[in-house]
Amino acid sequence: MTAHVKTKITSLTLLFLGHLMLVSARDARAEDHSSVSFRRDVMPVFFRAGCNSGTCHGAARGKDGFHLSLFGYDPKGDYFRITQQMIGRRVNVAVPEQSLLLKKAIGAVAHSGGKRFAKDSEYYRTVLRWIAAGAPDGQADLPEVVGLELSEERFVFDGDLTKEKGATKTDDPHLGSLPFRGRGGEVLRVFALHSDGSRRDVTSLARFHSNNASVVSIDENGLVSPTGPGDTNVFARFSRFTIGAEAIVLPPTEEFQWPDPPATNFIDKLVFDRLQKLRIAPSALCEDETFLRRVTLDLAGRPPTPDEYSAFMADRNANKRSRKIDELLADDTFADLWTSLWGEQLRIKGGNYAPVGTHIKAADTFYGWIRTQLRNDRPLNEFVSEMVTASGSNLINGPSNLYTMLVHAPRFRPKPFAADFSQLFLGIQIQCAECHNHPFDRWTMDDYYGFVSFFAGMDRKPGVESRERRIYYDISAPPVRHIVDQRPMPAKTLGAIKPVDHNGDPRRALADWLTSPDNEMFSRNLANRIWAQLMGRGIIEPVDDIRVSNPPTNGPLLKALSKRLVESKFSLRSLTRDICNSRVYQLSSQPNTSNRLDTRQFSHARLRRLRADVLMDSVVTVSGVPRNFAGFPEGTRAIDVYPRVAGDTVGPHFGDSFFEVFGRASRATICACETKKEPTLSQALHMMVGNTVQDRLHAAGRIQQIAQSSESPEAALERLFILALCRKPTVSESKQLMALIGEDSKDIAIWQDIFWSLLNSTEFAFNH
Amino acid sequence: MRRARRRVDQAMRGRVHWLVILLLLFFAVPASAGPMTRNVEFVLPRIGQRGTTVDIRIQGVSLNDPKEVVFYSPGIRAVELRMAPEPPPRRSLIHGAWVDQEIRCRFVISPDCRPGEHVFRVRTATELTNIGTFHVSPFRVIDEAESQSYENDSIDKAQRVSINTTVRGTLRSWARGDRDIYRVTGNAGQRLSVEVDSARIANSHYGDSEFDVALRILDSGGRVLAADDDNSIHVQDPVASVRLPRDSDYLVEVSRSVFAPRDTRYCVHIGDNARPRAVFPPGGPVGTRQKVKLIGDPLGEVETEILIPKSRGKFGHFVGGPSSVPVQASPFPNLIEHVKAEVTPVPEIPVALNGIIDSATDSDSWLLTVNKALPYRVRVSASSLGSPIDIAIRIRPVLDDGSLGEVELQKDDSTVSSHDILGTGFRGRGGMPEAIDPSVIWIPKRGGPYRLDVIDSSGLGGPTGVYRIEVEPQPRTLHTYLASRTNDWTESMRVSGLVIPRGNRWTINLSLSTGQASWPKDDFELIAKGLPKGVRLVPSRIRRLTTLWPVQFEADEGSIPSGTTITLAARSVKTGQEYPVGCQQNVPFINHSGGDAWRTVRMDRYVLAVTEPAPFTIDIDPPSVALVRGGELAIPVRITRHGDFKGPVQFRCGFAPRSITIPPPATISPGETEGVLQLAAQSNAPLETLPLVVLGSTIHEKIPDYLGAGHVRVSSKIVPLSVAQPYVELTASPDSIRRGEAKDFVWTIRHHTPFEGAATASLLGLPKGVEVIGPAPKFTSKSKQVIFPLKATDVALLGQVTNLNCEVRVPVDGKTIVQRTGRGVLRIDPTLKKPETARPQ
Repeated sequence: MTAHVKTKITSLTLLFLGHLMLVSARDARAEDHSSVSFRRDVMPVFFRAGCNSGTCHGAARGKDGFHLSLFGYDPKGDYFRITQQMIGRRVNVAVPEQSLLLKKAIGAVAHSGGKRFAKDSEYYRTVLRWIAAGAPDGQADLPEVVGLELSEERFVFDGDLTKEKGATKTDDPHLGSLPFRGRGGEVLRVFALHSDGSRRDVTSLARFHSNNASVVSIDENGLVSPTGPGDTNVFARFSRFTIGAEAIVLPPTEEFQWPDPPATNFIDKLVFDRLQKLRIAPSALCEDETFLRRVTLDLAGRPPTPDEYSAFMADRNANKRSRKIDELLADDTFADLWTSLWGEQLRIKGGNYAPVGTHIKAADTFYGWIRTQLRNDRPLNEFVSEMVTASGSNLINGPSNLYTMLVHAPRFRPKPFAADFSQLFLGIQIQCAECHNHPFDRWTMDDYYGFVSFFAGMDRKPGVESRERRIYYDISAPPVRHIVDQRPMPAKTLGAIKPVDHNGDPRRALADWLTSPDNEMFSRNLANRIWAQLMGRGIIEPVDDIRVSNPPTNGPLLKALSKRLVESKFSLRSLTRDICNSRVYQLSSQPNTSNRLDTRQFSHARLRRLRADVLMDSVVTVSGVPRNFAGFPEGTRAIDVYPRVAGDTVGPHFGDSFFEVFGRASRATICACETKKEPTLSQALHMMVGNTVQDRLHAAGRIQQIAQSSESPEAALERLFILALCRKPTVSESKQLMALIGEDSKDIAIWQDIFWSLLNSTEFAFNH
Repeated sequence: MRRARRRVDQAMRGRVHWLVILLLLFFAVPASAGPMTRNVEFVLPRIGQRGTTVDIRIQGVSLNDPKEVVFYSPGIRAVELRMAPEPPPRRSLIHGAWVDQEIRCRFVISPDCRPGEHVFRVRTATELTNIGTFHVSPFRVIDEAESQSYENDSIDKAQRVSINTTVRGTLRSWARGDRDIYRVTGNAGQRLSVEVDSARIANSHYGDSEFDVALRILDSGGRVLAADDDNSIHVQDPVASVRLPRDSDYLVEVSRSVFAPRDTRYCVHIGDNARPRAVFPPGGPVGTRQKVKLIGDPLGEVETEILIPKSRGKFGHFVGGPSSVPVQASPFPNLIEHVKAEVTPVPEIPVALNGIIDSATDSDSWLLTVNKALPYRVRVSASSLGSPIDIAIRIRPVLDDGSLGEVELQKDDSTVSSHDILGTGFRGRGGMPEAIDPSVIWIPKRGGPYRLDVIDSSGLGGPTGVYRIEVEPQPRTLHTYLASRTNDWTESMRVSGLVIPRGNRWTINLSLSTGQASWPKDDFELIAKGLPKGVRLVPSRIRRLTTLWPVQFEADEGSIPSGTTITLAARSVKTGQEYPVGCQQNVPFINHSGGDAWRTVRMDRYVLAVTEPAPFTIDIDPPSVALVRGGELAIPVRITRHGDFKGPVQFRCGFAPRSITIPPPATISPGETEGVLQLAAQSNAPLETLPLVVLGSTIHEKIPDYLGAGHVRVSSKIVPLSVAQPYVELTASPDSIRRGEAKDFVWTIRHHTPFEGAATASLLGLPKGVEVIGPAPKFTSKSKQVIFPLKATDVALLGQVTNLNCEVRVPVDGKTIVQRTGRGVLRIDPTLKKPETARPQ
C-alpha cells in the first residue's frame, strides 16, 4: 500500500468527524505535499481566474453564498471560508476531485461564473494538489511578495509595415538602443520578488491589461500586440502589486520630418524629445495676439483690455512675451485666480446658518488667508503645511478651516477626510484600501488605516460665539483600528513601514513628510495640477487619480517639473513662469498633419473652454457692465465668488446659476471631475438668449461709444474685435460685416448684433 | 432671433425675481414665532466721552412719563428726562417688535466714569424697562463725516481726526460695501492703538454678521501695518496697536468682515494709549497690591503694580484706553510657574497657579498634593482673561516609583454654568469666553502627589498666552439669578422685573443654584441689601436644594417712587449666620435666527423700582383646607379697584411646582372684582406646604402679557398651600356589561382622612352608550362601597375602557373639596344571541 492510499483511507475513516478530520488529514499529508501553499500557490489561482474579483466572489457580500476577500486582501479569512465554513463541501480532502471549488471552476457543475479554467490546466492541478495535501494554510514564514519585475520596461513597435518582427534596434536615433519590434506581438513576462530575495516567474498567474487598446492590446498570457499608432502602457497585476511597461506604436516614417524647433527651457527639451520619439511634429509658435489673450486669461482670469493689446502689439522687444508673463505674475490678480482654484479644491462654502462651523465668516477667513499667502508667494509646501497642522478658532485662524471645509459634514470623520486629503494634496485616491488593498495601485489596507490615524483625534467643538468652531486634536484619541483584525493602526505615512513619532498630535509629522522636498508624491501632484491649469490637461490625467496604472504621459517632464518646483522652493509663480515661457505653452492650437490626433503629448495648444468664473469675468470685462452675486458687494469679480448660502453648506452649491450652467464645481465632492470642461447646449443657449449677454448689450453704452466715437465703421469694427477677441478682424470677416453694417453705420442695433455674435463665438468662450 | 432671445431672457428674469423674493423672505422671518416687544430698543448715540454731557434718545414702546434712568454701575447720571415732542415714526423691527415712542434726556458722565459699557433701566411712572446700554470713552467723541456715498472710502479722501479721538461711525448699506477711512498724524516711535466697538455696542436684539467689522492700520502709502478681525479679547470687535515707524500720516480703515447690506453703527477709538493684551500674573489675592507685567503692547512689556479688589471675581484693569485687560481676584495666594523646571511644585491648596503657554510646543506641569476623596474645584481662566489660548488640563497620579499613572481627569471645555454663569439657556454660548475654559470638580482616587498638565488645545501658544488655575476644596456658595425664558430669551419684565407699585407688592420667581459649589448646609432665608426706604423683602424659609422660589417685595404707601440696585444675602435659619450670595442676570444680544446669541450683557446685581400706585390690589386667603393628591381646589381671587379703574384684570398663579397643575391666565371682566383660581394636584404630588401667590396685571391690547412692557402688575400675599393625602381612595375590580343590560359597578372605599356629612361621587370615563342610572351616589366616612347602577344601550360601544375614575366631592368646613380617584376597567360585550325556538307549526 502506497503512502497515498494509506492516507486516503485514513481520511475516509474520519470523514464525519468534522474539523478534527481535516486537521488529521492535513497532518498526514504534510510530508508529501509540503510544497503546496494556500497563500503562495492557491490564492494566485483565484486571482488569475477572477474568482476574487469584485464582480464575483470578491464582491462585498460575495456571490451565491461564497465570499472571498477582494483580490485576496484577507488570506486568513479566505482560508477560513474555503476550508471551515462548509466543511467537506468546498474542499473535500477525502475525495479532492469532488471539491466544489474544483467542480465549479471547471464547469462540472452549475456555476454562475461559468468555467474558469480547464481540468487539464496548471491551475486545476495546483488546487487539486493543495486539497489532496489536506488543504493546508500557508506557513507563517513563507517569504512575502515584495514587488514585481517585468521582462521589458518598454515596447516600441514600428507602424511601418516594411519592418520585420525581431529587429533588435530602431534606426531612429531618438529611440536609442531600445528593444524594437516590428508589427508582431511580444510577450511580457512577470516575475515576483520575494522577501527572501528569491524571484519567481508568475506570468501564468498574473493578470494583464492595456490602458489603450487602440494602441496596443495585451492578452491573458501577456502577449502585447500593436493596434494603432500612439503611446500607452500595459500592466501586469499579481499579489497586491501592479506594474507597467510603456508601449509605443510609431506611425509610418513617410512624410514625417522633425522641424527641430528651438527649445526655450527644459520643458521644451523634454516635450520635444518625446514628440520626436513618437514621430509627432509640434505646431508652430502662436501669434502675439493669441499669446496675449491666452496668457492673460490663464494668469489674470480675464481677456486683455484694448490698451493692453495696443501696448503689447506695439512692443518690438524680443522679450516682450516674457515681460508680459512677469507683469501678469506680479499682479495680485494672479494670486486671486489661484485663490479661487484653491478655494474650489478646498471646497470653501459659507452659510449664514452653519451649525457645522462653515459660516460665511469662517469661509471668508479661510479665503482671505489663502489669498494673502498666494499674494505673498508663500512657498506652497509651507502653505499646505500650515493648513495641515492648524488648530484653533475657525474665525480667527483661517487655515484651521481645512478641517471644516474639506469635508462638509455635521461631524468630523477621519476616513472621508483622509481620503479627500490624500486626493487633494497627493493626487492619490486611497479610499479603495478601506475595504481591500488598492487593486490598481500600491496602497494596502495597512497604508490606509495608518494614514487615517493621522486624523483620528481631529475634532471640532463649539467656540465662544455661535458661528465659531474650535479645531483641535484630541491627544487621548486612540488610533483607528484595522477593519479586518481590529489591530490598532498608529499613524503612518503612505508607503512607510513604521509609524511616525509624535507627541500626541501626529499632524506635525504628517506635514513634515507631506511637504518635504523629498516627497515626490507631493511636488509631483502640485506640478501636475499647475501644468494642467495652464495646458488644459495634466501630464497625469485626471490630476487627482495618480496611480501606478495611470502613469504620466511624459514621465521625465513631470519629474523635471516636480524637481523644478522643489528647487524654486515651491514657488507657484516660478513654475508658472517656466511653463508660460516655454515654447510648448506658446504653440499654436492649429494642428499639423502629424499631431492632429495627439491629445496627450502637448504637440499643440489645447482648446480650452473658459472656466465658468473666468468666462463671466470676461463678459464683464469686455462689456464694461458689472455682474452682481448674491451675498457679495457690487463689483466683486466672479473669480472671487465662492458659494454663500442661506442655510448649511453640506449639500452641493454653485454660488450662482451661471456657474452651474458653465460647469463650475459644486464642491459637493473633492473630485477634480466636478469642474466640467465640456461645452453644452444649455451653455450655448444661455449665451445666446440668457441675461448674461443680453443685459450687457444695451447697458453702459460701451458699444454706442465705440460706434459713435470711431473714425470709421472699419475702425469701430476693429475696436470691437480687439475688445472681444483680442485680434483684428480678418479681411473676410471685415468684408462680410461691413456689408451688414451698410450705409447706416450709426445704427446701434447692428453693432449690438455684431457684439452679440462676437460674445457668442466659440473663439470668445475658448482659450486657444 | 432677437425677439426669441428677449422672451427667454424675460422668462429667466422672472425666475430670478421669485428666487430673490424667497431669499428675502428667508432672511426676513425670524425662526421663532411671536413678537418680542421690549420697552427699550434703541439708545442713541451709543457712546459719550467721560466728563461731558450727552443728549440721549431712548426709543421703544410704552415709555410714557419717564422718571429716572437707573444705572447698574456708577459714573453716569441722567437728567432732564422727557418725552420727545414728536414721537418717532412707527417702524417695525425684524424680531416682531416696533418703535413708536422716544425719551429725550441728558447723560451727565463723570470724569472718573469707567470707560466701556454701562447698563441701565428706565423707570417710568408705572414701569421699569428692560435693559439698555450706553458706552463711555476716555477720548473726545466726534461723528463720522460721510454725507455722500463712499465719501471716505479711499485713502485720499480719508477723514482727518486727531489722536485720542473716538469716532461714531456707520458702515452703510451701500451696494459696493462701505468702508470708512480715517487719517491721523503720528510720530516715529509713537504708539497708535485702535479699537472698534461694533458687536459690543449693537442695540439689536436680532441680527447677524452685519455687526462684525474688521480693522486695518495702514501707512500713508496704503501698506498694511496691522490688521485685525476677531480676537480673544473682544471676540468680534477688532483691536490693533502698532509702534509707528516714522513721522507721517497713518490711516485707520474700518470695514465689514462679512458683506451685509445693512447699516451698522460702530465706534472707533484712535489713541496713543497702551494696549497690552495680557497681565501676568493675571490675578492676585483679594485686597492686595500685586506686581504684574503688562504684556503685548507694541512698545514692550511694562512692570507695574495693580490693586486687587476685595471681592472675588474678574475685574478690568485699565491703562488709559477705552477698554481693559481682565484680571482675576482670588481669596488665596498666587503661585507662578517655574519657567525652567519641568514641573512646578505646589506647596499648598487652595492656590492660584499662573503660567504662560508661550509657544505651540509649550505645555506646563504642576505637582499637587491632595487628599483622597476630597472634592476639589479646579477652575481655569484663560480665554476668559482674553488669552488667545484654549486650555485643556490633564491630571495623573504620581506613583511611588515616580512614574505617572493613568489619566484620572481630562478636561477641555466646560459649560458656562460650570463657571457659575447662570440663566443662559440661549444657544451659541452667548459670546462668553468662559465656554472654552475648563472648570471641574475633581475627587482624587488616592491621596498624595498628582501632576496637573496644562496644554493649549489650539496648538498656538504665544507670549500673551496667560492662564490662571484656581485649585481649592469645593466651596459652598449660593447664586441667585433671573432668567427670562420667552421667545429668543427676550428679557421679560413680567418674569424678571422687580417693579413694586407703591402701597402694593410684587413677586418674582428667583432661580437658585450653586454652580459647581456645594449647597449651604441648612435651610435659609434671603435678605435684600440696598432696598429703598419703605420696601421690604417678605421673609420666607427656603429649603436647601431649592432651585426656584417666589420672592416677594412690599412697598409701603409712604415709600417714594425710585429705582435702585440691590444685592441679596442669605441667612441660615438654624444658626442665624449671614453669608453673601451671587446675583446675576445675563441677557443675550444679537440673536441669530434659531436663537444663537452673539453676546451677553452680564449684570451682577438687580435693579428694583418703586413705581406709582397700581390701580388695583389683588388678594387671596390662605386655603382653609388642603389640596389633596389627585384633587382640585378652587381659590377665590379678589381684586380691589382703586380710584376710577374699571378695566379688566388678568390673573394667574405666580408660582407652582411641576406637581401642581395651574390653569392658564384668566380675566376678571371690567367692573367685576372676583375670580377663581382652580388648582389641581397630581396623584404623586409631594406632601408638603407650598407658597401660593396670585399675580394680577392690567391688559395691553397690543403687547402680550408674557413680554411685560405696557402692563401694571401686582401680587397677592404669599399664602401657604398644603398638599395632603386624598380623603378617600376608590378601587374597583374589572367588570363587564352587555348591550341592553343594567348592572351595578361597585367601587370599594378606603378612607384616609375623616370628613363630616355625605360626599358625592361621579363616575367619569364611561364610553358612549353606557350611563349611570339615577342620581350620583352619596357616601359617608363610614361607607364601605360606592355603587353606580349602569345601563348599556343596544348601541353602546363595544370593547374595553380602562380609564374609569371617580370625581369625589367632599364637604369640608363648609367648602367642597374635589378629588379624583380610582382606575376602573369595564368591558362592553355584545348582546347574547337568543336560543333558537321551535318554528310555529
